[in-house]
Amino acid sequence: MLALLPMLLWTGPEVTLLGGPSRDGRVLSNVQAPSRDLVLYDVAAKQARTVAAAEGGEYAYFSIVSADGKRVAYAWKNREGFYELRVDGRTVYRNEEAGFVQPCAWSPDGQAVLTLLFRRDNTSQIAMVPLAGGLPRVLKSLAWVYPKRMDLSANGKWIVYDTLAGGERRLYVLAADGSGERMVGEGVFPLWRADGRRVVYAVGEDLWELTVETGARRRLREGLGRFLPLGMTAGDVLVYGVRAGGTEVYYGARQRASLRFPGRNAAPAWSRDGKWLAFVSRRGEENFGEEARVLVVREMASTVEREIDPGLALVDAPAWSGDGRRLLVRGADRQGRAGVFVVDVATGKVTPVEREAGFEPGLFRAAWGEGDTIWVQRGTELRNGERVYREVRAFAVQGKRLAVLYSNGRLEVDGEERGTSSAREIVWRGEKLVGGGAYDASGEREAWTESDARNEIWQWELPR
Amino acid sequence: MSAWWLAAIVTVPLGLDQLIPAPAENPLEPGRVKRGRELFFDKRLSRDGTVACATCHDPARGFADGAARAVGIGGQVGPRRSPRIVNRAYGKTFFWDGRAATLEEQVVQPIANPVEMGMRVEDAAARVGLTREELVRSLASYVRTILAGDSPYDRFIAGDRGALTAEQQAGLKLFRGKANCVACHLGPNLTDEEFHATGPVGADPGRFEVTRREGDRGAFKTPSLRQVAETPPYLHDGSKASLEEVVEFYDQGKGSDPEIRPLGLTAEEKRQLVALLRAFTGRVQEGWP
Repeated sequence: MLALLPMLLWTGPEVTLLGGPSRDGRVLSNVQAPSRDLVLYDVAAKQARTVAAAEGGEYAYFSIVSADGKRVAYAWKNREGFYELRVDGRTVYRNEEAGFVQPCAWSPDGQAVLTLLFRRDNTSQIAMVPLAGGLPRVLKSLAWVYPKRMDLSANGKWIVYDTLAGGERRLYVLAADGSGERMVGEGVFPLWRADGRRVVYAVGEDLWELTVETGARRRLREGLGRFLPLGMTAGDVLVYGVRAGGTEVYYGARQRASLRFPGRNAAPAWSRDGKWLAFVSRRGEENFGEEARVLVVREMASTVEREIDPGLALVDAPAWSGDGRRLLVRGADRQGRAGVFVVDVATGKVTPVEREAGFEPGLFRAAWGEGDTIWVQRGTELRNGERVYREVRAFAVQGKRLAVLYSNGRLEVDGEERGTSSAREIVWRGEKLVGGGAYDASGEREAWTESDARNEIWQWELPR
Repeated sequence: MSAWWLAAIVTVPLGLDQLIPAPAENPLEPGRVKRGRELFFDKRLSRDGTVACATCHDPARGFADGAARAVGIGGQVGPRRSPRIVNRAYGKTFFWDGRAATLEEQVVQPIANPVEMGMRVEDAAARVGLTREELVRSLASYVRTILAGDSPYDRFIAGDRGALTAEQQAGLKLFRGKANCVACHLGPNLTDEEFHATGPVGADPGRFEVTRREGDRGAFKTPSLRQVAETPPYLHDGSKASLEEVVEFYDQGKGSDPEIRPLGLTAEEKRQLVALLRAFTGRVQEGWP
């Protein structure tokens, strides 16, 4: 019997890939963009019902629907800045030391949630979190790496997960009582099929299946695009997300900065003389979070591009030094320490400026100051040597000039009040402050990132 | 495809993984653990009947011996200090230089080492009425059950914000930040199980002796910090008598590993780090529960 073709269930600017289907396939959980409200989406009626509304900086993240489709377990970013696990609005696990949680599967009896805990030293932990209270039962810890997906078999006895081992993403089956484990193959994003004997998983843009007991494998479908399995229904229907579109760097009269790796480029930075453009380019498989990113340095006159792999787990927001020999970036090293790093353009050598385990990379900003000193904003604190500013939202430096935008909207330039602003970032364009973009020292050359990225949720009834 | 890794369901101390890895050929079984425990204390496994495993790995001394260098039969002195052997069930390689890949490989080497126990393993097994295989399996099984956890640090990590004093919490912030300890000491067992040349520069080639890679010269496996306050002296050569000396040494940043650099710790920060190190002392359990 021929398998049916994949069917598009839902797309639109509101769709993220942070949820999954109910076992009966009738509803999908989703964290709406840009509101970050958690909703349940009725597939037949094409209507979303809010389950948890974001408010005051608190919002939902990963979510899973219970077997009966009535309850939702989800990560909730709280006011203190870390994530707790909630079920139907009630906190069931809250621990700053495991400050990121990813619920992955409900136990068959609905009494526990298979959850990935992320400790502040960048250890990830596979744990069963009891909903009635009490400590999670940590089955296994992984240092510096984490499963992109894990799942619990329908009988609740077996966990399948993927992790980096020996440089490859490998699949493991772990007994849910902690009594054993084995490696079963290579791949990523595993989910159990309804029979509890077979696992489906991704290799690049293809979907594969593994029979655990025999090790037999087969490719179920080629060319699904940048896809992420989100869940499986009881009827063996795979629900998966697809990242469509992408991000691109433009300059001048909307010319693409690079023709290579379309849809994967972002965060441009001009060298001060305008001769070079650096940007970040994504490589490898689709992912939640940690991605393989390289820095690309393009000589504008010759259009010659050179890739620099700084060997960081995350790299973002490059900025050129005055001598054009170094790039200042924010990111995280492979041991999960977020911070600010200097990359030597000629050699790719990375020198940490500041780094800290358990801190979010996105909370760092950095810029070159006068004499190539380095300004670092960590959270809301901005520092350069002895100079310290607090309650800072954003800042911009150009030579001796310093603009500081405070959390309350107050703008200060070279120590003088300049009114208020609601901007989220500020950059110098020549002598003016603007709210975004990348410019050379003259302010005449501009580069920017455009995105037409969108998410789609599909389903496909798997062949028997 | 790799073999199943099997383990019995043992209640582990707070902070450790429920999964206790054990090879399919040697699953944890009560009888084998009990026999391994008896063997661990049995001096008949050494040539002159004076040294048992427990001589250098004394439960009363955190499963170490308190000496700067291990002392074997006839008073012979080894080149390195006896490592603490708590939580070795979770280890990936064994000995300071990682020359054994499994606990089964590890447990026989001190028996055969002429400086330590000085016996052919087959002869040692025969002396206690076992086959070589049963001796190996039993000793390895017992060592897998030596577990340390449930320390103030573990309770803090589990969410008890009052489990660490303010000084210890300040030490933890340093541990993860300025002092950069977390570059090597992380996870439930406070080790990356990797090899680093962070210690005193000496003649001991360390990991180089195993890999013959020049970059491994002087590198030793990161020890777990569990029960560290109970087990002076410190470093692979036992050259630091106290935790204060260890912190002072790392503050100077003299090792050749790229992660090592002068830390610029203040006296107060050093005290805070030492206070944290003392919070890694918890409950030790061994044998079949």
